[in-house]
Amino acid sequence: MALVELERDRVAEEVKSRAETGESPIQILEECRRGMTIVGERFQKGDYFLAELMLSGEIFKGAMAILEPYLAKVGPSKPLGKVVLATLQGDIHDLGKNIVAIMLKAQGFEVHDLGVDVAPGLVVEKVRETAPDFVGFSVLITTAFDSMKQAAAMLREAGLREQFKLMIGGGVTTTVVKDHVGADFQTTDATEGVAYCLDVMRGG
Amino acid sequence: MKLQKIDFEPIGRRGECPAGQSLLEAAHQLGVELVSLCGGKGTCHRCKVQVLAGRVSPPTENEKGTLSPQELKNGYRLACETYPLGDCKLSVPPESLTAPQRTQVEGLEVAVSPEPPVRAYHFELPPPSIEDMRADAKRVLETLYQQHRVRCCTIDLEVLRSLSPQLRSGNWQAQASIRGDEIIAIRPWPSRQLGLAVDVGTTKIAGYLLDLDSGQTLAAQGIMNPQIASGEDVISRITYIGKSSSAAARLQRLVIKALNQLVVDLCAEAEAKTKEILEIVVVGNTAMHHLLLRLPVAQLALSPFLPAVSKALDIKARDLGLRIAPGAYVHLLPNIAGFVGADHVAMLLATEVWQTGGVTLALDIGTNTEVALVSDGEIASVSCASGPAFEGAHIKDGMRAAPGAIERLRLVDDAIEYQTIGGAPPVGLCGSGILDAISQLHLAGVLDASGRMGDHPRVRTVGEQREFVLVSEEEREGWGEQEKRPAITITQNDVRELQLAKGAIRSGIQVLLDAAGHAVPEIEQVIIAGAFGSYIDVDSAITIGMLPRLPLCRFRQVGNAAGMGAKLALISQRQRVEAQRIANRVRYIELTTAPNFTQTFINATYIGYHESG
Repeated sequence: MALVELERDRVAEEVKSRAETGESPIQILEECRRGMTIVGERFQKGDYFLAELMLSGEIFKGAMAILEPYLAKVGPSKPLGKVVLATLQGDIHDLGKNIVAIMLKAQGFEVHDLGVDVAPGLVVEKVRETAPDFVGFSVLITTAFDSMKQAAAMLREAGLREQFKLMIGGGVTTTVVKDHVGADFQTTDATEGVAYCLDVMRGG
Repeated sequence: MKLQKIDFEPIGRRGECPAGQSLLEAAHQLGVELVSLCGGKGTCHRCKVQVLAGRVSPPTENEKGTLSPQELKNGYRLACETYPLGDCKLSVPPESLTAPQRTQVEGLEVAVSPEPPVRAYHFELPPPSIEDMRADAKRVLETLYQQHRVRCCTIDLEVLRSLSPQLRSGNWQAQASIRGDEIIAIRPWPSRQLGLAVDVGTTKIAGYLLDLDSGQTLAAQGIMNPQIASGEDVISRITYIGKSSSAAARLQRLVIKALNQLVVDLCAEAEAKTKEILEIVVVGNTAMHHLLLRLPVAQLALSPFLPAVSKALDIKARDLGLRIAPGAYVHLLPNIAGFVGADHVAMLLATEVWQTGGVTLALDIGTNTEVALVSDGEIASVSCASGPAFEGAHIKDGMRAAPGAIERLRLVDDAIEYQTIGGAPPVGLCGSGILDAISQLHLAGVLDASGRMGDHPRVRTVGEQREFVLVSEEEREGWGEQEKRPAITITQNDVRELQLAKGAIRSGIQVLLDAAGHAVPEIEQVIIAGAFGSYIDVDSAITIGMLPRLPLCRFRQVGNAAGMGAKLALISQRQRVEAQRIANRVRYIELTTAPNFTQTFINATYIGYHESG
């Protein structure tokens, strides 16, 4: 598959010609998503690295842009689910979060990325506004754990905590941190996080 | 067979050992050179280790007989009689090691005429009488003004406590050591004045004993920073402090104890007395600086990463528990930001980069790599989170630079040629060896630019993971090792770890170049400071795209420049003023806020990455 091999031009050409010949855009999109899943697996195994992952995200975005008019004709598409992502106050590292965002978008999630050094209050606002299925906190520095705990507490106080699954991710997180924060899921691996979201949406 | 993770600190060698092995056997399997004169019979009592964490077998009767109740209480055990019952973390006291760990103390020498902050003056007092009833202290102060025109207003309390008997026994003659307007020591004339310059690193501490008046270095030594048992890097140490109210005091005690030991060792080497040391200059990263003073550190590791204090400080050495001359001061050079500390200032001071006309890059490579770009009279600095990969951490067969570490490596046809520290049998790879390995594998086409490991006769797959065999099981037997030992390999994950580390450094360099509007070929000089930096093969570092592609003649590996800067500040007041000026002038750039940083970083992870040249 061209997407898996990261052949940008070929993906664009193929998607374009197949859509033009009347092939179902939903089917083409599904195929691209499968490609992204395989890229994710390769990343997990160490065969692919950051650059390949980011590139695949861009290629996927390009394919989506081509497919959009065709998808619009088929009817309004509903996102698979909604996710709010943030790197919380005290931490400014966002590479891991960006990777998760790319992979979630590729799987059909609507992603609201709040960026870095985000005040917990902002998360509460965004959750109230978008009613997401998932909230994900990315963390690189251990000293920012308390921001996650604080945000989780504020979401509980606002009575919003039961409406979504809380995920935390980053190389320094552990199950102990998960319990400390009161999250539903923890991972050090972006692909696992995406798999979790898919599982939950499928009722798993 | 059940495997247990055994971690030997502070040398940082760890690995999995089969259950049922004693700690001594585990140490030897992992290449930790524990002393064992009796060969593990429990009779020489030399293989003492301290159990920091994890469960081990209860003390034997023999151990109860040889170790004091205090030692047993603190977890000290004989490694040959102790069996781990799960994962363990141990501390190896220096006296239990056969070979000295390699720590770096040499550095470049810059000629500076001494202009010490502490000056010695000889004085001769008119003896008191019923006609001259001035107090002893007043007599000293007035005489110093009469005989030398130096105006002092205070005398250190400890000096006052011994002043009167000393003047009388010295026949009203003595030498005053004056710092600013304070007398910090009074001793017989003539006494030499010594000073100590220290670079407190996250991993290592380098100390230099100098004669303050001649500027000559009398002794130099490197030791491990004992705080390492509470976290390898700055962040984990800060996290450790957050865990309990006594942790900060404990870490401070550890480093002070190490400094006092360093003082004793350096004095022994130079045949000096610790009381002869009248001044200490300390440099270090901002976290080490704060930990030494027990300043709050939590904010250092949280955006926007602010130090509690940044300007230079003068503190009585005794207030920190440092055992030198009772009236002596510790001078701490200024720092710049949470992750750019006084060691960076000292490095800039020693390398004199701010005085050069052209574009100069200066970097100190470590767990945190500070990079400065000097151009058009401006200095901009960044801190790169290069991580502990160069110290051998997170690398399957990684280790710190200690005997048996592969430090140089070449791939010749399909064979590996390598050199180990001390010529010892290979036990793992240190940073320079890892760098060489990645570079050689890339040149041989085993690693492509993305870092993916391809095929080669020495590449195999273990579990899901590809690895390149550097020293096979059989090749290790060639060293006359009796038992079968696992191969030393570079795994696909190791390559990824190194890509992250070198990508961090290379992207830092790129951000500085972009901010200053310069391209790589314009860099006239690259100064590589730090212990690790002086052992690396620059060519390998260029090959993997960690350092910019420039002619080798533009690189200068200067060793511990931070230590050198500390020495300069120790013997010269003018250099202290200069250090403060440098600190004021440096523009700190927070990397992650640089435009397009993510893309810059990702590009920089490519092996062989070279932007514009």
